[in-house]
Amino acid sequence: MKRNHPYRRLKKPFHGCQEDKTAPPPLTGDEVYNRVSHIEVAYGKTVKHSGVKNIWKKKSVFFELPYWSKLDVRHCIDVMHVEKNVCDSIIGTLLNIKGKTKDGINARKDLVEMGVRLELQPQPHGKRTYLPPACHTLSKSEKISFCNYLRGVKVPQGYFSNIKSLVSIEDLKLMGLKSHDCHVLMQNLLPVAIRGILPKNVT
Amino acid sequence: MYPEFGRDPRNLRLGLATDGMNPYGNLSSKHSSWPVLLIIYNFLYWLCMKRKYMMLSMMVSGPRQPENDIDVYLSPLIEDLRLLWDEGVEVFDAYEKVNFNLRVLLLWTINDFPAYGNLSGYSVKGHHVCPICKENTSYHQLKYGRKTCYIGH
Repeated sequence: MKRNHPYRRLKKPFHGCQEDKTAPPPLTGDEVYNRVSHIEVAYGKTVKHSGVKNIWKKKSVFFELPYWSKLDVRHCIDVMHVEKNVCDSIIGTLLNIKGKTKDGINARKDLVEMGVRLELQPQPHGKRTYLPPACHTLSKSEKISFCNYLRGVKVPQGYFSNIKSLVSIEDLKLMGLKSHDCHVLMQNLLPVAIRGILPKNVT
Repeated sequence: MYPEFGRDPRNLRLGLATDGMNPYGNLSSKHSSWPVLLIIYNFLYWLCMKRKYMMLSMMVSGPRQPENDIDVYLSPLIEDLRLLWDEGVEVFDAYEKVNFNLRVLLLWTINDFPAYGNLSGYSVKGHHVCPICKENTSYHQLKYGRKTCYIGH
């Protein structure tokens, strides 16, 4: 994020203090090599010895390659994987699928613990606790219209799997999403689907 | 950085991808094999990720995943890659009908985050998980969610 980005000065929407640090520079290959070069590891099953904990576990075999420490990017994270996980979490939270949602009572309690977003704290009502709806919470009719939109989407051939089979109106769920489905959902369909339903500051 | 390598467009640049997969599907949930794929980045980018042009260079089979010991399995591959980098091998170019010396550079690895820890030797669990922030990773243990969150990333 840029030095003067307006989000940096906002306190309330985030964890309550201004952010003025810049991103740390990543280690170059030579620096990593200097850190790991002295580590000696025994492979296989070993007796666990307690001692000084090191965040580096081993000297990777790739350092046997003479050019490895000169490369700028040595390891890439699988973007397909990450996108799928993010998509699953978003869909689970939006449709409030049991077991998939990230917006449960423990999450709300943690918000209180950290002292942010106090309007969302759980309120006890007798035996039950009431979770106030967050800005991304969908009501039942909104969920139905969301699912109906996804069922009715028409896409070019070979662009997307048959989405009608993925949406189930009865349970208001999306099932069996493959990673490509998640990609299309995140990139194209989801922004359009929630544009009419959720308030403007979310979309 | 290596101009004599870059001068010949026939020199290969490889990517190494690995992840755990289960050959038995849901018949046996505990099995985990680790295919190691090599991807040739000299191809056009819409071709290089197709199944036809990827090379399954090795398959770490076995009921359990190799975790940090994957280095032992990878070392023959690394030996070959060293040979291909240091000296290169004599290869026939069918287009120009000449022999030439082929050299190979391993560009990077592609994997998910747990496998990242196995390949790079960095710890990907616990509090100091960010490989860029190292020891200065800012973390916060959630009391009720019982998870660690990494604020400021």
